[in-house]
Amino acid sequence: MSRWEDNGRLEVELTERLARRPAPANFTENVMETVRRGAFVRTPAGTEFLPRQKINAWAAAVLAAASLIVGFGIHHRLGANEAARLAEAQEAEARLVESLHLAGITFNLARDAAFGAGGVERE
Amino acid sequence: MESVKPVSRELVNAALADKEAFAAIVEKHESMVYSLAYNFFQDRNLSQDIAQEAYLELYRNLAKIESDVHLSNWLRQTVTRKCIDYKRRRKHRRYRSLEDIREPGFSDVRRDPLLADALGQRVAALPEKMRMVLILRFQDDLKLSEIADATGIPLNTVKTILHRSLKKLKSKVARFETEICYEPMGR
Repeated sequence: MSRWEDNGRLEVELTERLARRPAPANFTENVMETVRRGAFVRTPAGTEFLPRQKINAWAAAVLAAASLIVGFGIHHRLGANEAARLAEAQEAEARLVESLHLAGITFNLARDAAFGAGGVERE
Repeated sequence: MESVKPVSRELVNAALADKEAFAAIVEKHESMVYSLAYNFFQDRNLSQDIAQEAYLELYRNLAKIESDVHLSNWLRQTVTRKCIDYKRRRKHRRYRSLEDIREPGFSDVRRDPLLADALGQRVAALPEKMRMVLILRFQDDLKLSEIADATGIPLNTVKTILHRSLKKLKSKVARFETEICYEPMGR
């Protein structure tokens, strides 16, 4: 029988190995900065914390693009019936979200900014 | 770090009244929250992200927190859930260990660094639930019933998981030790 199996040495080593560590020095500051600005988004690179102004700028740009595309779609099909116009708008929305997603902007941000409010990720 | 007096629900009430008072809650629990994620992922940046997300979720749900004890359990439960969820979502990704880079001010009193690193690698190779049960048990010295609460795993299953993970680790570490003993000298 190995000494690992009989004297609890593994438990002692685990207690040391898995002990609490101090959080990085700027941790509280980072959290508070995020809380103050009130928003964070996910990007393909991971979680990114963005200033509110930047988010607003993104949201405005995405919203403008969405209005243009959806508006153009509706205008183009003005003569068609209501169902056809709705389908066109939905298709434009899907294309927009897909293209933004491919461009690296997170799906949730694109969707919320274009069709919801604010672009702030919701749990 | 200055300790913050845990007083019933005063910290929560203060944070609800004034956003800046939330910092006291962050400071009080940051080591527990950060270390849970760090011991799970062995990645400082990712651990910070996970810990920050947990705090943001707390901030959004602050009104639902009933007491300081509830706050601490809530945070532990949220980080645990986030770690396991994140690992499952990103199963294909491999994480590079940053163990070799020491935290400033972190006093490393390990008796056998080689063995500790080997043990760390073997813990990191365990499945998510096994790893998290071990971390909660040995980092925060939680009782089995508390681990069951934090992870949402039934108590008897927690017992089984802990028993199996220790057994698994014992055999792996014993094998490692044998390998080290038979390693030719001077290499």
